[in-house]
Amino acid sequence: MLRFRSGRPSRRAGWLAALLCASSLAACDARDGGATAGDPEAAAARLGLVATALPAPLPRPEFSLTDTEGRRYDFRTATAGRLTLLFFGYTSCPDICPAQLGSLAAGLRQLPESVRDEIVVVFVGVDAERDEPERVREWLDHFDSRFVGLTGSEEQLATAERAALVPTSFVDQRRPDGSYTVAHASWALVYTPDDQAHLRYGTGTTPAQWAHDLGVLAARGWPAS
Amino acid sequence: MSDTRGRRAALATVLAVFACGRQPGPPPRGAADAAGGGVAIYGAYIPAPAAPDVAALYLVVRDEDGDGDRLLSVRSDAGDAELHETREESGLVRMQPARDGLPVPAGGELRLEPGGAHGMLTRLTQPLAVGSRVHVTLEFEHAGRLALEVPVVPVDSGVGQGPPR
Repeated sequence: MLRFRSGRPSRRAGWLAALLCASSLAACDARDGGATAGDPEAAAARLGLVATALPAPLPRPEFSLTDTEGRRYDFRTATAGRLTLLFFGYTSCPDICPAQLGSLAAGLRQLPESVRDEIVVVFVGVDAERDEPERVREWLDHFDSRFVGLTGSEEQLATAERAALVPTSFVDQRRPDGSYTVAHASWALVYTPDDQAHLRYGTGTTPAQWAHDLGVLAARGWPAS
Repeated sequence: MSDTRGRRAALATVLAVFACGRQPGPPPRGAADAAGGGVAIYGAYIPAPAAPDVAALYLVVRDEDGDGDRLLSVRSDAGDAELHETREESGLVRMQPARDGLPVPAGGELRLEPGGAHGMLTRLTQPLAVGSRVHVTLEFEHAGRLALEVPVVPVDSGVGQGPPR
């Protein structure tokens, strides 16, 4: 089954348009002045977080996928009000997906059980062809058996990515032996109990950084502006 | 494009634009895993794969004679091996084969580390259990072939801090 979900000229044009919009938004923000009460960067700095602050909060998205028990999982309902990390990746990813989740799992183990229990980690396997629920479960169990694994059809996955406002994944490099790599969103979004994401984490986040930031967020939440 | 869609697209792009780089790992420590022909290999490791069919190889190549070199290919008895590079663009993480190899800068280091250049092992011929060792051969433009035994370590050893000690 061939899947090419992105890279079409129309989508590229859309992204370019969005980039121009974003540039002008950023310019406006700069003109409107620095560290106000609602300034996410200043808030993250006050909390001493290593996360990157989003320029504007993103709502906890509504999408439905299948969990690793084969049940329907409504992301917004299932995680509402809870500190939630949302990752996109795929189980045949050799490099960054296991590094990212391994690092997070190691960071979580540095936190007290009571704090870990407050944090929901959701991994969306975006490789519709290979990321069967059982395979995702087995893969996640190498990191932490409490991590929630979701997957779905190509269309359901694309819908989820759009709802979360991350770039749509697509089959990237296809090799002669039939194997392939998948391009997928690079950051993890963090939703706080106010049901918004104010922060995101890059692929290089270390266990100590995860432990620090998640400990702070579990204890203090996101400051009301 | 409606206002909502436009705003959402803009936000998504802001995320993409603000994507940050990886943290550099620490410099190599301890004894070399292999050395010869003007290069030395340090800190090689393979995280125990979470998937049954794919794994990554990380290591540091240090140029020892000041001439620089190029890592051309990697081979392993554990499966098919290929030099790969992970890169981030527009909020997406993508991989591509390093078909022309990877440069070892004169007097510097080539780092194969999570989120960057790495050896990709596919079609694994054996389960890679923690504590086992994998035979790997690196081929360089000038230094020729260097063989080393690479330890398999726990997958959750983390990123940005080099191999576990």
